[in-house]
Amino acid sequence: MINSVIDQAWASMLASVLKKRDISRVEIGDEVDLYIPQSRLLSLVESNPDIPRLLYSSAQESARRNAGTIVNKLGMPSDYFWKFEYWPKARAFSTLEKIVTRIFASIMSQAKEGSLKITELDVEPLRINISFGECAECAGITDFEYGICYYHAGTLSGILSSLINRDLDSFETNCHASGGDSCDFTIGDKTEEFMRTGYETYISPPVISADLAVRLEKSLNNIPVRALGNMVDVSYLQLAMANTLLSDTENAALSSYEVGSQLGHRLAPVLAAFYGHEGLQNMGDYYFQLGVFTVEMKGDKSRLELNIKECAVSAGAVKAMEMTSFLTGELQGLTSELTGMEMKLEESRFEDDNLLLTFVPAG
Amino acid sequence: MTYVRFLKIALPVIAIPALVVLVLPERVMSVYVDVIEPLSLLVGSFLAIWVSFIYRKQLKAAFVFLSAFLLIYALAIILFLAFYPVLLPFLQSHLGYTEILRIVQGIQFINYAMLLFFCINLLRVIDVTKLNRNGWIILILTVIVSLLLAIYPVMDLTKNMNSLELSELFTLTMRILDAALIIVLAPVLWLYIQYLKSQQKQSLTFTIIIFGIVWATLFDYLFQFITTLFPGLLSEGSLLYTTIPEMIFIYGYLIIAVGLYAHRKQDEWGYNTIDKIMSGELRLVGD
Repeated sequence: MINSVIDQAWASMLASVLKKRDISRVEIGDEVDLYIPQSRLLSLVESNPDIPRLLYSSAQESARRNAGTIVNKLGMPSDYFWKFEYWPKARAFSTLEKIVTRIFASIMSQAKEGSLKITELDVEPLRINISFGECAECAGITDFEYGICYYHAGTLSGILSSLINRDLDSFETNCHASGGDSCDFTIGDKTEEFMRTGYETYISPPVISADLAVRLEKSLNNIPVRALGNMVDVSYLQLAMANTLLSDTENAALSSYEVGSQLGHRLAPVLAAFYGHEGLQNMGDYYFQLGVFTVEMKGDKSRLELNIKECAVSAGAVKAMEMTSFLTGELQGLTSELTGMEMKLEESRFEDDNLLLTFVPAG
Repeated sequence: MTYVRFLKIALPVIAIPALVVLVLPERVMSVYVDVIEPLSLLVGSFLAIWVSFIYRKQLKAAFVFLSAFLLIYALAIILFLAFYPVLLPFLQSHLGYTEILRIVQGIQFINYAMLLFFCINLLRVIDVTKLNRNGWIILILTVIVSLLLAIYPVMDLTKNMNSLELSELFTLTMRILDAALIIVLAPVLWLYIQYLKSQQKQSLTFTIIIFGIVWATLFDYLFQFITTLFPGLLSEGSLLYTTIPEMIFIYGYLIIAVGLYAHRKQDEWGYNTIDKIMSGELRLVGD
């Protein structure tokens, strides 16, 4: 099911480049604030040191599969990069650069995911250096000493693995989050010692802790965090979230709910201070402003029913309840804080395109 | 243009200049063959060098040797082996038959050396160990069949191995080398079929080039085998004894040329197709 969500998101991004995508969220539009995917990925990474590796592997696998599908749909034969290891450097660089630019850089640029560029390539040993500017995964995040773009590291190595049909890995050598001008990745053969060391160091970072409240304030105040603007296509959010759920979906969804709940608890004071409303109205304004959904609230704190429309994580034909787990947890945390009463999720279901959630006091 | 589309058009089209051989009057046919055979080999030689620029290491070397083979073969036809050879009358006025034969044999050996180097480099690139069980069975069958095809029509020669003349020994050696060539190249064809539906798909255009070489070698021997086995199939002295092999050679050389051209143009055609689909000029495949 999660794989279907991922495939749908890739297909949607391709359709968007080809100008063949219908807007799925008529009222709110097909973009969300960068803070939304960032807060989710960072909270999950913060909560569990295995998440970078899981996210990377899932992103790599799903990108590899979908890159293959996309190039086939674009009429590129699967033997296009035949015997790539025997190509001279100039041909390897120019051909790969052209294909990546024409297809994947276009897709990512259209989705406002970032600006992808192959900057350097060596054939023996294989080294592909990629510059990824305006990175949606880390724009506006600061004060890290190392790269944190695990989703993109996996995605980029997956795309290139698919194109040249080799098992590649990548690691980040420079990141916006650590003060760089762009996120730079080195990609090479998985089995090579240099790559193995680089990858292992990268994928096992020291404890990650990001000040998401500070980051949220930038988005709430519309302070631009990158030249491309603060919004990103919903497909990117869906891909990022789905890839955190791909491995052991059931348990991953439970963890997401927990982590989302903790984030909701942490954010409620920031929202209350920013909007200055009483209670739950802050929540509705927040999600609408950042392009996540619109909500109709019914009932009171003894039984709160939320009718969520045009939900970013479940936009599109394929609906997977697991995809909403982080959001549901976050709403549980927020409603608990904003009502002053610990709430629990009583029911969640889809009704047509809407997500219906019912919260009741815990215990 | 995609290379699949190009091949679908080009492979039937090049059958026309090959089939023409069958219908031309004898005198016109010999002139036609004298022109079209070396010409298609020269074009192939030029294209093989052009293809070598897009590779390095063993694959580059393979195409350089293929180019040298096609070039030497073309020159050998023009100078010695054609219906109206350019150099032969001159040599005949200065040298005896045996000396001329040795020159021709020497050139053919050099040419086979080129083909051998081509195969050696190719085998270092093509991972024969990836052959599946069926592949190995096919390879064993290829060894049996190609040796049979090569030796059966000249079985008489093998009966008197101790008293063979140099020219007879040369003929036998050439035929065995041809059989060895088919045996070496057969795995390339099978690997293509084996990986047809996999992500590790082998190059179609490269397989076409190899198929061209195998075609030119194998079908000539097959024809000889059939006519030896069923001598009544063609009337004695029939022109078809000459024109059918020539047709096979011409089509084989043209297949090689078409494969090489498509192989070299693949990058460019790939970009163009993607650009057209991305700009909406073409539809997505499968839409």
